[in-house]
This record gives sequence, C-alpha cells and structure tokens, in this order.
Amino acid sequence: MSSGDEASGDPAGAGRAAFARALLDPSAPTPADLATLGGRPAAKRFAVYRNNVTLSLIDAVRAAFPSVRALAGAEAFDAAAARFVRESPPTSPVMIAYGAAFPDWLRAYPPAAARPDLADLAALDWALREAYHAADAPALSQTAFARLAAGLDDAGAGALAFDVHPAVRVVASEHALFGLWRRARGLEAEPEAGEGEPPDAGRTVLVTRPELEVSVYAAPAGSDAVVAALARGADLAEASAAGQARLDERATESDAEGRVFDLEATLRLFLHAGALLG
Amino acid sequence: MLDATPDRNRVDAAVPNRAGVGLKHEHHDAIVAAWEAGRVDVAWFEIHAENFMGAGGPPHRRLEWIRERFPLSVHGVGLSIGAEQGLDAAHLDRLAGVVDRYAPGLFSEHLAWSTHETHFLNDLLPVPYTREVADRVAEHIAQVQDRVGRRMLLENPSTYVRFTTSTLSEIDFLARVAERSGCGLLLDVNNVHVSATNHGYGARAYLDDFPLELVGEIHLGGHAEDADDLGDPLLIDSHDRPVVEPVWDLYAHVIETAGARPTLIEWDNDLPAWEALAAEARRANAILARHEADQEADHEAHAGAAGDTSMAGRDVVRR
Repeated sequence: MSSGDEASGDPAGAGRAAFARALLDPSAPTPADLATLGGRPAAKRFAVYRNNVTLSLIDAVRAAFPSVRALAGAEAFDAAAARFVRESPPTSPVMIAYGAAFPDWLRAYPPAAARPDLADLAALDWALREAYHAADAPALSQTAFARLAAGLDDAGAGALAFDVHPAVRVVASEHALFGLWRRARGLEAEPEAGEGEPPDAGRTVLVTRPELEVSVYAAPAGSDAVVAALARGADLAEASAAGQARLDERATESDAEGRVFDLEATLRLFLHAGALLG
Repeated sequence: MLDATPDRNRVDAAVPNRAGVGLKHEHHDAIVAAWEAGRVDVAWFEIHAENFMGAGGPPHRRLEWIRERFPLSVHGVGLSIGAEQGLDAAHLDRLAGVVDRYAPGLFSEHLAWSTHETHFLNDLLPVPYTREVADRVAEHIAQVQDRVGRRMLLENPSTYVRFTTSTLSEIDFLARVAERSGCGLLLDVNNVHVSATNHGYGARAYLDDFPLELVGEIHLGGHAEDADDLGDPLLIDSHDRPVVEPVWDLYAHVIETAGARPTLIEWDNDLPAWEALAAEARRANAILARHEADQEADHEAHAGAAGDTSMAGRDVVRR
C-alpha cells in the first residue's frame, strides 16, 4: 500500500492520486500498490496505461491541427503535441473539444518562435473544428437579404441588424494566413495579390458551414470586427464603423495609409458564404 | 432540410440478439451503399456518446440517418464511474442529452476511471476491488440511471495491473455493484481473455462464474500482443484488428450457456474496410443463428417426445 492519503486518510484515494501523477510524468515512479502475476515487476504493465494516455492525447491534438502538422513537419509537431498534452491535459471528457488552448500555447512555445504564423494557422484549424460541430441553422440567402434591403435608403439599410450564423469563425492574422492554409492542405496556391488588392489581403480568414460543408474564405480586413459587432447585436452602420475602426488601428500599427472599410464587399462575401443567420 | 425531425422516421429502438458494430464515420458511405443494395449484415450500431456531444454538423446528420434505419446502443467512455471523486454533473447532463436525442435501445459505460481532480486522462484506468469502491461505483451508477432515466449496463474491464489493496474478485465486485445499483452488465469477452492472460487465470472458469443472467450486451474486439518485464505475454486491448480464435470460442461458449445476446464487434483503431468489419459481424451472427437452430431442434425433440405416450408427455411438461 502506498503512503496515506493527504486529504482523507483513504488509502485507495492516495493510490489513485499516485497512479494519476505517474501517468503524465514519465519520471514518476511506478505506483507502489500494483499487484502482478507472481509479484513480478510492474513497470511494463503500468507503461501500457502511460502510453495509452499520452499517445491518445497526442492523437487528439494531431487530428485537430492537420494544417500545422503539415507545415511544421510531423516530427516537430509531435514533439510539441507531446509537451502540450503534459502541460495542458484535457479538463473535459469531450475530446472533440480538446485543443482549444493549443494555438495560444503554441504562440509561447520556444521552438516555434521563428514561425509565429503557425499559431495563427492553429487558430484557423481550430476554427474549422468548431464550425464542423457547431449548431445547425439556416443561413440568410442573397434573395432574402435583397428583399429586406429593397427600397431602403442608406440610413434604413444601416439600421438593419443580423445575427451571425452559429458556425461562423473569423481568424485575423498579421500573416498571409489564407495562402498558408491552402498550402498546408495541398490546395492550389493563390495568385499573388493582384493590382488594387490591399497588401493585407488574405490575412483575415472567414470559416462558415451553412449546410454540411465547412468552407474557408479570404475575407476583407476588418470583417472580424464586423462579425464581433453583429454578434453583440450591433446594426449594420455600427458594424461597419467597427470594421473601419479595425482598419484604422492596423493602419497606425503598420504605418500604412488609412483605408476605407468596404461594407458592401464584406456583406457580399457574408451572404455568399452563408455567414448570417436566416 | 435542416429541421430536426426526431422520431418521425425512426425504426423501433429495441436492439435485437444479433450482431452490431461500432459506428465509424469513415464507414458511412459504405453503409449507405450496402443499405441501398439491400444487404447490410449488421443489425444495429453502437456509438461512443462523447463523439456526439457537439451541437450539430455532419456527425449528427449521419447518425440521424443511421437511427432512422437501425437500433442504436449508446456507450459512454468518459464518465469516470470508478473515480473516487463525484461524477461530473455537466458531463452527465451531456450524456443524458445524447441518450434523449437518439433514444437508444441499450446504454452502457465502463468500470473504470479516467478523470482525476480536473484532468481527463482519456484512458480506461483500473479500480481496486474493495467493498468501499464497489459501493462508491454503485452510488455513481444509481445517480447515472436516475439522470439518464434508464438502466445502465456496466462493462467488465481489460486490465494490465491489479492492486495489492483489492479484497474482492472482479466478479464479486461486479455482482455487488449490480445488486446495489440495479444495473445490468456488458460482458466484453475479449476483455475477459485479455485480463485472464495478463493475470494468469482461466478465462473459461471466469465466464462460468460470471452472472450471465445480468448480461444485456456482449462486446467482441481485437487485441495486440506485447510482453511484460519477464517476457511473458501481455495482451493489450487495442481494438485494431480481428477477434482472435480463442475469443470466438469463449463467445460461442457464452452464447451456448446464456442464450443469444446483442453482440457488438468493436474496431476503433486502424479501421478496416467496411466489408472486413461486416465479415466479423456475419461470424457472430452465424454463432447466434446456430444457437437458435439448436434451441429449435431441442424444442422439436421435446415436442416429439411429448407426442409418444401420454405419460412421457406429462413428464416433459412437468419438467
């Protein structure tokens, strides 16, 4: 029997705590209260549990972040995942929800310091996971929107408000995230930013799933702020102002010229992509 | 098309005494094709409840297609019924939600723990077999059955170690839990073979002691072979290959003794083509059908004997 339980004096509880500690810590000794056939050493037997725990969690992280693994390389990714599962094991038995903390963890992972874009790519992989499992709901169609907006002047249209579809996620990056994701998934490379395209094209990425297929789009800069504003209950005028504010904020940071947020292009994409609730 | 229309088009929930398989989304298209061709060799499916705890999307769409055509068994893998600590109420609510949504004919969980403090360890970890732990497990199961609103089947584990603190045999432990909680048992025959090999006891003797009358479902699966510190066989419950011959023999023995039961082929890793999985199901169905044929032959023999003379007839009836 192992040492007495710290809390309750219940020896079974203390055994369980030692068992749990040793599962995630390869340097921890094999628990003392294991019985084996003929009293033989228990190390390899206990190692089955240790391997099951560690490998199944690493598998879960692999499954959630296929793009990051493709670009980082399997070996480097698996090393990161092995460390992540020890430092940040799941707190829920719902494994489809395990990995939400990985993008931020990766941002602070020293071996990945030279590739800050990988953390954004991880955030995009996670956005796809969430969109896949999100609640089902009808998306607002272009014709339904046209009916609502028909005959309205600018002020009237600006007072319209829409709910965001539950499967919508937007990831805004300082890197050319959309192209990065396409490369990771083995899709055709996007053409270089064309004439008239802003230099930050492809840095904001929209994920939707109006029906069964998850879709990924390069979205206008500032559209992340529009989604956040609509989700808060803002109308289109307020949401557009939020989009402009996001552009201004970025312009100051990068010392670029101020630009005008394009609400019309953003709405066109949102309707095409099924980003608004019908 | 996105409207949820539960129940309307679903088949009856009762799971028959035939072979089912663990449902994997990788097989969905093949199952649809087999269904459309009118030949699915599988009578029902089992899901891992945790895989359907998302709000919506393709997993639920595919599962609703299945549920309209097949009875379902919901098998929880994350409730940590064997933990010292109390059950996770939020998780129990999610589990009840899956059961309410899909109205399964069978509902089961494991004799294991997987959560310690706040950490979920994603494996089915062994419990010491004592009266205190049995009573804790029974309390947990009673709580589960109250919340979910139906009887639970508790699955016997595959284990690689035992505990010096154990004072009960596994069977006495399971029987005590079943008696105190009113739950039924899920007999995993492969787990019996794995644990018996790993701990050096006879699988056949274990089965002969098992309270088969409480068994509401049987699991069959494949295991990997490794070696322990002394180089002796250490079997690992990997669910990644076909059922081995000794497990088929034990299964046939169980069916002969206990009668037919819903029987699941579990294959969770290194998934085979659908046809290979269906072949495993056909093999289980053949054993179930042979038992039924034997039963009928016995019945006819008795009926024939009863027709011989009135004295013998009364004798048969009295027996």
